[in-house]
Amino acid sequence: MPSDFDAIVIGAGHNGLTCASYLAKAGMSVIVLEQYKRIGGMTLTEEITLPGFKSDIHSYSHTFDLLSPALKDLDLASHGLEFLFPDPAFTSVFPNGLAVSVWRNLDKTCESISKFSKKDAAAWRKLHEMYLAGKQNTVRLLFGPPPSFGSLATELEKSEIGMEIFRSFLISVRTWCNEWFEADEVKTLFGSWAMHAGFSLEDSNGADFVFLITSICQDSGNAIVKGGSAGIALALERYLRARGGAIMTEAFVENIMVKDGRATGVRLKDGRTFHAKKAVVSSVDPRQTFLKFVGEDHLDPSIVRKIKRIDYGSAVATIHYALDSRPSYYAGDEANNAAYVHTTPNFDSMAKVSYECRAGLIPENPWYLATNDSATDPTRAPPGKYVMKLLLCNLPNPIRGDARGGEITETDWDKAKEKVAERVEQDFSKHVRNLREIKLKRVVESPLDLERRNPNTVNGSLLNGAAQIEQFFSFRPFPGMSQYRTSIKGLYLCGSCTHPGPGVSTAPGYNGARAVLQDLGVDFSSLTTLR
Amino acid sequence: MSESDTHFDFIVVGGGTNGLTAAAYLGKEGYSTLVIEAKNYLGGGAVTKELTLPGFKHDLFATSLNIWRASPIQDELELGKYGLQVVDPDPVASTPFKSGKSITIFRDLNSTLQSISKFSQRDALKFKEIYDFYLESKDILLGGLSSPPLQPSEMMSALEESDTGLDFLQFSYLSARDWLEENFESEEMKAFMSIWGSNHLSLSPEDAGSALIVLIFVGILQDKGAGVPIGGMSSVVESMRRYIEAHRGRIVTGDEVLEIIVDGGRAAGVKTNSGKIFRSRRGVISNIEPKALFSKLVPDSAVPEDFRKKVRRFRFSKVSEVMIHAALDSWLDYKPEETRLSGMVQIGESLDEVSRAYNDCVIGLPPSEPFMTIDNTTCYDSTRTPQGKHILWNFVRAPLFVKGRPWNEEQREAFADRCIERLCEYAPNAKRVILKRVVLSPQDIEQLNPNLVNADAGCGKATLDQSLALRPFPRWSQYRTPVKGLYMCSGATHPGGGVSGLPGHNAALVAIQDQS
Repeated sequence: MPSDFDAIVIGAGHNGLTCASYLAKAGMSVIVLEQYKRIGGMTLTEEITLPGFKSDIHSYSHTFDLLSPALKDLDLASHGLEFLFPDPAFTSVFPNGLAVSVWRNLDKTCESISKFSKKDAAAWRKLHEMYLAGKQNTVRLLFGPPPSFGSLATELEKSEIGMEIFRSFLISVRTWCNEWFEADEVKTLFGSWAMHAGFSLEDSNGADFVFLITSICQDSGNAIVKGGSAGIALALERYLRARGGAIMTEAFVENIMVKDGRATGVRLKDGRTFHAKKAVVSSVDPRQTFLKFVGEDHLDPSIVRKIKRIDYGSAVATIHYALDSRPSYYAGDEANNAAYVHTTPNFDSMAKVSYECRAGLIPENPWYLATNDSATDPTRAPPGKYVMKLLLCNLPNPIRGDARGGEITETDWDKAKEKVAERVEQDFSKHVRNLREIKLKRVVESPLDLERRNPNTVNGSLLNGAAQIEQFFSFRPFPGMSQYRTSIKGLYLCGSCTHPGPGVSTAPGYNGARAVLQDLGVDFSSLTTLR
Repeated sequence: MSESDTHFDFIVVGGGTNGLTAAAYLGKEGYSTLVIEAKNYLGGGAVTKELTLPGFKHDLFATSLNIWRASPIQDELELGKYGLQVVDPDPVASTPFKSGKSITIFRDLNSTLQSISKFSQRDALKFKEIYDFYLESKDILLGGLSSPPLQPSEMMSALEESDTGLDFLQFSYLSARDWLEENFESEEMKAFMSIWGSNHLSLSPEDAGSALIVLIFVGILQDKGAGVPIGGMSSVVESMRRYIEAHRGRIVTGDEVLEIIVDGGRAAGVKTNSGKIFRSRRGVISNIEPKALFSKLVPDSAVPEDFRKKVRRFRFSKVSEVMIHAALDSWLDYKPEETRLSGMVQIGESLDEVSRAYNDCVIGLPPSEPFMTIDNTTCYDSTRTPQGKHILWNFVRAPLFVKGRPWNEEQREAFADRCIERLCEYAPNAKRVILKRVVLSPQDIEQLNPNLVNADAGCGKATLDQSLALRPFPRWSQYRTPVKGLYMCSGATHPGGGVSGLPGHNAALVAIQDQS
C-alpha cells in the first residue's frame, strides 16, 4: 500500500466515507483509516446476539439522509444501497392498548390522529404543508456550512414569516406541541422524538428538530436499509473503492502530524505513517482529534479550553434481542409493523426522564424506543426468527443514583446495566404479550460498552456533542470553528460534531468535503446535484 | 369638568410600578399624564398591607429592590426628594445548609470570597473571576435592560465581530446547570447560585439562558446589594406618586378602564367603569398585560388577526409560587450567624435538589423539597412592625395547578406546613415564633392582582422565545402596538417582570421619541 495520499480521512462512519467519496470523485487519492474491525461507525450492523441475527448497533432508521444529495451524487443505489420503508413510520402505544401512528400516507396519519382529536389532525396537515413549502430551504441549510447568527437573523428579520422561523429555532418541544395539538396522545406521538436527540421537552431549540424529523418521516419515510444500517457504509465503500480510494480497518491513529502549523499526515500506533499532500479530515470528535491526535502544543490555549468544555450530551444504552418468532404488541399490527414504537405513557413522563438524567439518576421509568427490524426486513434474521432492539435514551453517565428510590445501588454501568435492562423489559412486557416466551437471547450494551467499541460514542452518547442551542449552528462544535476548517492548516472536521450534527444525514461529510475542495480551488458545484 | 380634567397628553392604564415609571418619565419631559388604577391603591406587585395582625405591614408580593438598584430610575427621578428611603442590608444574601454552614454575599467582596472558601478555595477564585467579568460587562448588560431591545441581527452581528463577543453570545444561551457544573466544585456553591435563576425568574437550571440571569442577579447583589425601602414597597410607590403629581400628572384610583377608545386607528382615550371618558392627545400606555389588553380593552377590529394570534400564544409560566406571610414574635434563629442578619435567605441544599423541585412544578407536582426565598426586612426597618416583632416573607416555587386543578385550602396549608418544617431545619424557632400566618396560593395571588396572571411574577415566561426582541411578540418588541399611540409597558415587555420599573422606563422613551 502506498503511504502518500492527497487526503487522509480518519473514521469510516457514514460521514467519513461520504467525505472521502466526494474527495475521490474530485480525483483525489484518498485513504480512510478506521480503528474498528469493520467500517460503519454509527451505522454498524453486527451479529451481537446469535449467529444469523443482524443487529443495528447504533443507528437504525434513516431520515435525514433521505434528503442527502449524496444518494444521487454518489449513485449509492447502484452501489447496493436499498432502502425499505416500514409503514407506519412510527407509532406511540399507550397503557390502554391504543395506538397512534404516522403512516406513509398523510390521509392515513390524519385518520389515526383523528381518533384522538380532529383538530390535531388538521394541525398536522397544516404543519406538513409548512414543511413542504420550506423543504428546499431546509435541505440547503443542512447541506451547507452553518450561516453566522448575524447573517441568519438579518435574512429572517426581513419578513413576518422569517421572524416566525427565527422564533421556531428557540421554542421548546413542549411549547410547540401545546401550540399545535390538544390531545396528550398526539403530543406524546410527536414529542417522543425530542428524546432521540437528548432534548428535554423544555429545551429551547428542540421543536425544530422534532418538526423536521417527523415531517421527513411523513414525507420521505422512516427508512431502514435492507440487510442492516451498515448497508449505507458498504455502498459508500463500493463507490470509494471504484474510484481508487482505500480503506484500512484496525488502523489505530496515534497522532496527526503537524509541521509548521500544517497537518502533514497521520501516524498509526503500530508506527506506520501516511502522508497527506493536501488534507487530513477527521470525522472523530474534537477531544480526540485535537487533544489526543494533534496535541495541545499545537493549539492555542483558548481552543483547548473550548474543547474541554464541550458538553457531549446524555448517554444511551441498547438492549438487543434475538427472538424465536414475531413479537405481538397488545396494540396490534399498527405497532407490530412500525419502524419505531414509542411506549412512553404520556407527555409529562418524558419531562421527568430528562431531569432525572441531568441530575445523574437512572430514571424511575427509563425512556426507550423499540425497533421492529424483521417486520419489514426478513433478511436480518434466520427464516421465521426475529431481531429487535430497544434504544434507551437520556441516561446518565456517570451514574449518581437511582430515581426509583435507590432500588439500583450500583453506580458502575458494567454492574448496573442488567438491572436497568430488567426494569425496561418489565415495562416493555406490558406492551408485547409474548416477549418473555419468544426471547432467545438478550444482549445489553451500556454507555461504557458502546464507547469501548467506538470511541466516537464519547461518554456513551450518540450525539458527538449535545445538540442544545449553545452547541448548534455556528456554535458547533464550538464558537470560531464551525466551518469545517480548523486552526491547523490542512486539517478539517467532517463528523457529527459539526453542523448539522448527529444522526445519519451524511451532511457533515458532505460539508467537510466541500470545505476541503473549495480550499483547493475545486468547483464543488460540478460534483453535486444540489442547487 | 374642565378640559384639563378630561384631556391629557398621555393616559397610563394601570398604576403598578411600570405604569408609574412611565408616567413619571413622561411628566419629566413636560407631558401631562393621567394614571388610572382599578384598585383603591397603587402599586400592582409592590403593595404593603396589614395582612396578618394589626401593626404588621407586609409586602404582599415583591419585597426587595435588586434589579431596581441597578437601574437609573431612582437617581434620575431623585425619588429621595420625594420621600423614598432605602437601606442596604449587610450581609446581602445567604444560603444556610443543614451542615450548619452557609454561603453569604457581603457588601465587601473579600468577605463574600471568605464565605465561599469555607467550601472551596477554588470556587471562591472562580466567583471572583465571574464577578470581574460581570463588572467588565455590566455597562452593556444593564444598558441593555434600560433600553428597548436590539434587533437580533444587530446584536448578533456585533457580537460575532470578535472572539470574546462570540464567546459571550454562546454564553448567553447557556443553562445555569451547564455553567455552574463547569465552574464550581462544591454542591453548596452550585445550590447557592442556581436559586437566583430559578426563584427570581421562572427558569429551571436547565433552561437555555439561565446562566446569564444568574450572572446578572448575583453581580447586582455583590455590586449594589438589595435594598429595603423603609415602610415597605408601598413607600416606593408613594414617592413615585408624589413625583408624578409634581410633574403635571394626575392619579385616579378605584376606577377601572373598560375600553381603549380607538379613533381612526389611533388610541384616543379610555372609557372607565364609572362612565367617565378621558381623552389622550398623544397616546395611551398600558401597564395591563397584553392578553387582557387585547382581549378585553382594545376592540377586536383595531388589530389584525395575525397579531391577535401572537397575543394568544404568549405564555405565562405555570411554575408559579406559594407565598407564606407571617407575623413573628421574634426573628428567626438561623444557625449560622451571618445568615441571621442577611437581607435575603435562600434555602436549597444542592443544584440537583433545586432542579428537581423546579421540574416537579413543571409537570404539576408540588415539590417534596421546595427551595425558597425568605426576605428579612424587619431587622432593617422597624417601622413595619410593633416594637421587637418581625415579619416572615417566604416565596416558594410551586406549580400553578395541582394535578391539573386549582389549589384548595387544605393543599395550600399542607404545603405551607411542609415549607415551615423545612425552614425549621435551618432556623429551629421558625414554627414557634409565628403569631399568625396567611398563605397565598397562585390562585389567591391572581385574585388579589389579576395582572399577575398565573401568579407569574415574571409576567410571562422568560425563555429565549419570549426574551429580548421576541418579547412580548416577534416584531413587536419596541413597546408599540398595531394601534397607533397605544404602547405596552407591563412586565410582559423587555426586560420583563418584577419591580424594576424598566419596562415603564423604556416604553416612555419610545413614546417620547415618537413625539418628535
